[in-house]
Amino acid sequence: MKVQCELCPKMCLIQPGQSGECRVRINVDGVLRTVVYGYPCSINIDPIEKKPVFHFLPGSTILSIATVGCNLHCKNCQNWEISQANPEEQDIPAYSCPPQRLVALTKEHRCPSLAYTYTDPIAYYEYAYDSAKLAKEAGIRNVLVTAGYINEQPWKDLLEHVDVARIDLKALTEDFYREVCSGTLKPVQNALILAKAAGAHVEVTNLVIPTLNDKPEQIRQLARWVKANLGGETPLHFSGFYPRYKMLHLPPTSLKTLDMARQIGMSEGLDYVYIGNVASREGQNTYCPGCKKLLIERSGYTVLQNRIKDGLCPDCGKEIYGVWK
Amino acid sequence: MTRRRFIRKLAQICSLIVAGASAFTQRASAQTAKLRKFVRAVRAREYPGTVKPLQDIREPSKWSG
Repeated sequence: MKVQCELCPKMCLIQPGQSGECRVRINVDGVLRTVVYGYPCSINIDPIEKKPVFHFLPGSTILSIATVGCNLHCKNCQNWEISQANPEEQDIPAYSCPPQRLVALTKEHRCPSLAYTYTDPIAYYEYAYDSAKLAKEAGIRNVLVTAGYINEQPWKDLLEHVDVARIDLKALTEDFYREVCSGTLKPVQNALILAKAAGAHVEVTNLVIPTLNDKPEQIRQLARWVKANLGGETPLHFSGFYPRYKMLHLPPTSLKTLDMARQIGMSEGLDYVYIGNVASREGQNTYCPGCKKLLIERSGYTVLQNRIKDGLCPDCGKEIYGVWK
Repeated sequence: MTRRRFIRKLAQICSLIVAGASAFTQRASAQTAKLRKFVRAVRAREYPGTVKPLQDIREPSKWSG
């Protein structure tokens, strides 16, 4: 008997013994099973700035996990070795780490938060959901790093336990999503709006890929959409692309292009626009949108100074969007 | 076209329509999924790949994100 997975907009109709597009949700005798539940292929302690998340407990460490599999197949994927892998592959071992152990590890290493990242947590939804629920009960906060390609009902359910949603908005055209990611744009926009409405702290990342989404007008449209739908206070990260996976023919994004994107974002009224994956001190710092003074100085993933006091600018008293303690 | 060939063609078209409609009704859309409760996948009994003991997790990951 076929089963239909209703987790993401792909709505895979899965034959017995086969998996959905994500490779990790399989039909076993007419029952939909997740094979990666409790088996992450990566568990590491990262700086929160690596996600990138800049307005949530800056300078803190975060226990970060991923399993193999992804419901999208982005040709530019930076982590394709795990996102596009089958769980059966021998060279990518997993670790047995059920939600209880994950929460215990997070506490043991004194991490205030837990990240579901590297590959898309939508693919390991049930594992992320149960871990997030348990972590929240234990006073640990949950950070989801995702492309947001998920159906509304499971997304709303998951958001109940999510503190931070760091969502990729890869471009603002259906063509890009279809041709580069094997997905569609509308569900991602919906996921972003729902995350904000649910009260999660939202940060948006856009990977700027030469020739595909790096034109000033494309960047302007994206910045306008973020401001109009998520609010001008929403941090927007423009990340530099590096040739990976099926996009080895394109050059890395130049610092000049990323600087241009940042300038456009700010000129469109976004308060916090950052650039990442390249060395740029100014593009990584947080400035007060009121008095323009430096608030958080960063170098790479290190916070050199944080002047925010109780969520306010110490110079003009403006409230700074984020979670600071 | 003879009457027999016409009837055969008509039968072929009708069966194609029926097959298409049945495939369409089997596959619910994201819109219909919105209206009902999401059904979770069940945890598989075992991992199909290699499972190793947990190693030192204190170093930042080599993976992006």
